Amino acid sequence: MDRNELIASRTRFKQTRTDLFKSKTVIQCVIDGGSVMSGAKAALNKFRQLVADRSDIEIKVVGGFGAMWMEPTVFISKPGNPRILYGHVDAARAEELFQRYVQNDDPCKEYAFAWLKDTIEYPDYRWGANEELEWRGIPHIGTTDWGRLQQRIVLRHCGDIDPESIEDYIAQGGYAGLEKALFEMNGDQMVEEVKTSGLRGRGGAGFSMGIKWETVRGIKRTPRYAIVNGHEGEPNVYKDRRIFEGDPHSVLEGLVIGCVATNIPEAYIYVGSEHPLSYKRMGKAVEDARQMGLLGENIMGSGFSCDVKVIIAAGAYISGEASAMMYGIQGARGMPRVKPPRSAEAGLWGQPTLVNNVESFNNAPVILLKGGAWYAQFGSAKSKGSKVILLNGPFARVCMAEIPFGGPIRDAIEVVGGGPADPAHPIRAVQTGAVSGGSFPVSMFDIPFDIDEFGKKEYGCLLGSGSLTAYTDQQCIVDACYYILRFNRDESCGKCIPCRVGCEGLTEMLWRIKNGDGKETDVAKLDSLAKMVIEHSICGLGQAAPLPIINMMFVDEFKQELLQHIRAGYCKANVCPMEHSPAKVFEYGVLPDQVYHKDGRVGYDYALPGASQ
Amino acid sequence: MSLMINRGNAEGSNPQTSIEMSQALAIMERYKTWNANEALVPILQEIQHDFGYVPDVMAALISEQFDIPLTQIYGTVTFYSDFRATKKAEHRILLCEGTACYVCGSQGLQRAVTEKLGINYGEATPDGKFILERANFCFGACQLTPMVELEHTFYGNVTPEQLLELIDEIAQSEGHEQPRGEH
Repeated sequence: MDRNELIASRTRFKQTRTDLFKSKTVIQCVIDGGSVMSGAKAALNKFRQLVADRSDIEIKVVGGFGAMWMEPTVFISKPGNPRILYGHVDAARAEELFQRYVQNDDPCKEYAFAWLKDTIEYPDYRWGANEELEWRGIPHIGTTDWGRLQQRIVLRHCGDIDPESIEDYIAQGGYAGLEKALFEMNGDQMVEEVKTSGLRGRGGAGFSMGIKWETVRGIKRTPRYAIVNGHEGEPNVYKDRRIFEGDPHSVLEGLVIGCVATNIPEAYIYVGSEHPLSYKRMGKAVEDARQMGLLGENIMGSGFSCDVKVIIAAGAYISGEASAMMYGIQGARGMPRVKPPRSAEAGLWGQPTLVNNVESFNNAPVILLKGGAWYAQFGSAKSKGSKVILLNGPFARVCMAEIPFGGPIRDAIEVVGGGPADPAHPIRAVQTGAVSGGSFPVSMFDIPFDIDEFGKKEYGCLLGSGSLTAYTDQQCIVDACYYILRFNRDESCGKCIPCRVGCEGLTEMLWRIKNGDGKETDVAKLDSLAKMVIEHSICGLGQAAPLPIINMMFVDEFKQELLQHIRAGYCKANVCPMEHSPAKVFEYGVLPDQVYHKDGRVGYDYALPGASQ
Repeated sequence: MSLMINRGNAEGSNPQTSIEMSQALAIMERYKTWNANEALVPILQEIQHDFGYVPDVMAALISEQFDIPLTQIYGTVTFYSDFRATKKAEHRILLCEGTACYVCGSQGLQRAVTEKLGINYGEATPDGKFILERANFCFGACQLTPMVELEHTFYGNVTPEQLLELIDEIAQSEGHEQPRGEH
């Protein structure tokens, strides 16, 4: 299809969609990897069974909306009424909603969370941009705590379109960015636009995407490749898969725009194997786009050719690192290599390669359409735009949301996340960057949400992939720190010694402390070993793994907790086993002559069953 | 590994039937046009999916067909967490150990399983029925902490008692004895 055909079909698809919402009751079920586990399929099947013979009701599947705490979620939109979001819709509630709202006229206020429009066109992608009124007692999503701060640029289509339908995507203005890239701009202008936007890579390192594109564009060597890095093996990070599941075409469009700007004819989308729905939907998106002529030879008659292959990863957390990922595609062990040369110079098969995260690519269509300057007005001085955040653990609202940079992180925790799940256990710290960073205690909640502010060396924290995990008085900092080190030790590829041996040493020391065997000298040892590992590791894993220890030494509150473990053999969250601490020794009935008193604490020499690692 | 291959179908290794071999050849046939190195991971994935592990003979077969060094295949198989080089137990108890699951109770689940079945992470019961594994990634449903995958079904908000019940159910539904009874 050429450009005019695309524009014509966009008008047509848009009309079909508008007519659908005007003439029929539309039930949209959120089906993504996480909601399926909460039983979203049951609700979907119930609705399908109920409307079997009704032609005035349409059931649609939409991608991950992000309201995970009340999954399974469903949107119901009746002609003339706004789209209403319902939470906790199991089969029974689906039936009740159907009878009370779809067949009658009671919008079931008690189950409704909020109402929203059936388009993505909120000013600046902000639900809260205009003060919207209540509709029959149901608030607008822009006035709810969860919605009012959000700016959904990356997630603009998530929960709105059917991810397996290219028509839906085109109807909502899809592939207009690619059109602009192919016919109205040249490569330099595109790179300039992305540079103006100030967009920084969303994979964790935070390198400017514009500069990356410029570097690749500047290198003329062929063949050259582009890769979307969607390998997300980190615990508590699921943003990339939700984007794949909710809006695969936007990733594809962003990728092709990147290919046009840097003149690359061959691209890969690397999807983690843990996310079956992601690669199913992404694969379908690529097939559909190819059939429509938006991919492949001579895209839209512009003379530019680009083909995309979806590659499924094979596990291993470290394969998400850019250079390791490329070895993975080449069928080798996914071990990172020493940089420079950067992947822009020597990437896949040693050729120039453009690698960006899913979220970064997903921003590209909007930046081209609205302009880099528009994008740059959001966020803080050095971190522009908005970032997808993931709130996990004992939050009242465990969710995926997108908020602009710049505000205090208190906003994310207390407004979007709604504070602690149980008010009796207030949040005392948040873990940053999933397993590659330390935690912020309550006293530091006013730190701005910003890549550089988070990444200050002394804090030992990282924004990383934007995951925040809450800790209350039921979670122990030493235990969490041990967990992170243990994870990184397991996932270390073993190529460079500081990480391979250092993480093992740190894990072992923390294990001892957890079991009540800590020594006063361990504190200094932990600190110096952590610094050594950070300094000498070659890749991001080793450089980030010991950060929780740096963080524990920096934050006095955490350090006191560590010392409490060592000196008193006491874990105030009652999480650590503390099997060798005096109380336990007494319980196991150790003979008095086996107990020694040393450095003001009581210990004994015999290992207990199950204590060794 | 190479020793095993020389022995072919001798006792000790896992013998492959000719049907299985032709099945594997059919998989490889589909990747004939691919760049050999690029095809390696997808082929291994299909073999892993069909057989539950990557048998030595298959690795040798890939090496022969695609002219990839056996060491590289072995390296790849042992590096990625999706591949298994040896046959594993029938039922996998996969505990999610994302940060949220960990701090919200997956340790308790592990302790319960270890106590009941006598296996730690990465170990299988002597009768080969159960293996306990930790998921070093995230299931992506952090509202349901802690999570367990058993028999391709995900269970959320699991308590140790519920998990032990599930294990009992699986053990009983197949007519096996109670895992604990025989020891």
